Amino acid sequence: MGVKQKIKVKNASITRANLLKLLTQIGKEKLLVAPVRNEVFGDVDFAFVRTGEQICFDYDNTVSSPKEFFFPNCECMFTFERAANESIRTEDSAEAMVLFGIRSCDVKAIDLLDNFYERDFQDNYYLDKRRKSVIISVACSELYEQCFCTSTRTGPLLEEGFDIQLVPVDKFYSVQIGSEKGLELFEEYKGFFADGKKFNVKEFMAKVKNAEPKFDLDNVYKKLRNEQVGDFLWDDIAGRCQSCGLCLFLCPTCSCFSVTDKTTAAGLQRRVRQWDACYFRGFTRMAGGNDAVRNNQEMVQRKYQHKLLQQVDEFGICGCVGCGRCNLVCVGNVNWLENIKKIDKGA
Amino acid sequence: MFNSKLYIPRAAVISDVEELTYDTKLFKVRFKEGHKGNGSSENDYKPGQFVQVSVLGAGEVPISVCSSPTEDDYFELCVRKIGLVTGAMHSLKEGEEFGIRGPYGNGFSMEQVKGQDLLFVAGGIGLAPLRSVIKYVLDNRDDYGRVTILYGARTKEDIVFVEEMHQWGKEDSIKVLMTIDRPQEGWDGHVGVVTTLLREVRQPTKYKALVCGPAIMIHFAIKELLDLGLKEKDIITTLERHMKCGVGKCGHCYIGGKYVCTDGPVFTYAQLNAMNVPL
Repeated sequence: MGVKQKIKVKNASITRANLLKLLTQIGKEKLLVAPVRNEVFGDVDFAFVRTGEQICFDYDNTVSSPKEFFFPNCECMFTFERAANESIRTEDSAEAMVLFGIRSCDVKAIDLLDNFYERDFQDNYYLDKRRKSVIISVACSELYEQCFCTSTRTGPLLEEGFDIQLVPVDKFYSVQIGSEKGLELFEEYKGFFADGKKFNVKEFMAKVKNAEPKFDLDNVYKKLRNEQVGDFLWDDIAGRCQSCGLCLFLCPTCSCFSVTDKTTAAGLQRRVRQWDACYFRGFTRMAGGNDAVRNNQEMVQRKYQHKLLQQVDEFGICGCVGCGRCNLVCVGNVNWLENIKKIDKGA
Repeated sequence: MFNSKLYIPRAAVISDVEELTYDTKLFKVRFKEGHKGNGSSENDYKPGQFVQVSVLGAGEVPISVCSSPTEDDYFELCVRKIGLVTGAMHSLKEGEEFGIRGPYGNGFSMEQVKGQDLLFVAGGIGLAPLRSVIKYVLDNRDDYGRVTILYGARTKEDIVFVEEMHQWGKEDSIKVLMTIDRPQEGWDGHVGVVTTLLREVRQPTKYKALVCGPAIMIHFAIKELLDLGLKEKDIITTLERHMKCGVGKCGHCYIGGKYVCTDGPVFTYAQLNAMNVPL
């Protein structure tokens, strides 16, 4: 069964006051994830909430991507005792969740991950959590400073692929329901919603601020495909990159993991998977010391080709969704967006 | 599939351990009887495929199956002690158990090379995945043409399956040549890297070449095979990569738009070229 059963988009609307009430009601009855502002540092990140009052509605995007709710940084795959394969036990840890406030770019990223985890071999650690979750995403009426979703064609508004999409319009939100799961949630809380007209995408898009694309994705794709990128660009990135892996941990589409067997202090033995990153220098190194990725240039190049070439080919979704998180955290001042622009202009 | 759930290994018992060299052992493996969640039988794999082997508590590693599916109710793993998990594997004795997932990877297409002359070029423990093909060919002898096996090791102590190679050499229209890298006391055979044996091969372009060994050996073997006039699509190799999952999810073996664990590990040189894989 697919993670998302698409339906013909159904329209509704909800007032701001009712949205607050709706989220409080959902928070009482279900596990609810939403953006919350950190009172000390002022930044916004996803957290479990119980009432609408805890939720932050005025934010660009969250510090972390929502992938961690489906693909946790550290996840127990199974437990075992004394190396006996027959003692292996798995736990079904997937809980029904409603996620509110996810941006269009991150919905697209989850769409890509759904395809990735479903292809060939089904990864049920991820897919079980996705099957049980419903996403209420919120479209953006402007592109914030770090954003470039119009360049990667992953926002600011989605025309399909969402469960429930809210679009801010004056004092209310236009609501679009695009999946079976979304419709189910809508029916359950129908009382909070009012009727809505078919949403006028063109009219909305015309008013989106800072919407001009920052690069030509097709041209970038072509340049990478035909290897028309100068080595000095890879040299420059390789020289700056400190191999901290932050850009990849925050990236909503990055999904690499490592697997290790661990024993807790209490003697509980577990096999766990943890996020891993191709910018860690040992990522491809084999026992014996041979490394398939020979230097930092090859290491950094691999990421550009994976996200901007291979994932476009395989999923029809750009592996970069233009959220800009990586650019905000890089300690080596590698700017992914600026580098893509350089590739576009013929670096 | 041997295992019925993706990431859950199936208990398999070591029924025999043979020391091949000072650092390499051959494990004969059978699935534990009555283990719940049974999957397919021991010979349900293709030459060139690999399994994920667990020693619970130590971890999991990809290991090529080095026996042939023409042999019933067991499979064999040739393992060099090189890291944490292979070290743990080496400490296990007959009657103890591995966890097995798989088989994974595309394997060699035995159909595609039917009727062809086969040239095997192997270095060190790189013979392991090719041994699966060689045994398969021996068990279906009429389906394949001439067989030439070139094998190189660093020293005579590093040679694996030495008696088997002598046995294979006694069969009709099978030629086996061995070499070691440097002269050594007690060795009166060929000396030099494995590619020096290519001179001994008559009409090389009639062959499909199957190459496996250390990265540097693969690099030179392919170069010389091309010099001899073999076509890129007639040179087949199997890649070794760091892998955690074996099923195209963990990302470690990703290269040139492909996952070595699911799209490979067997590729023709033509494919590797198109993927821009440095060799």
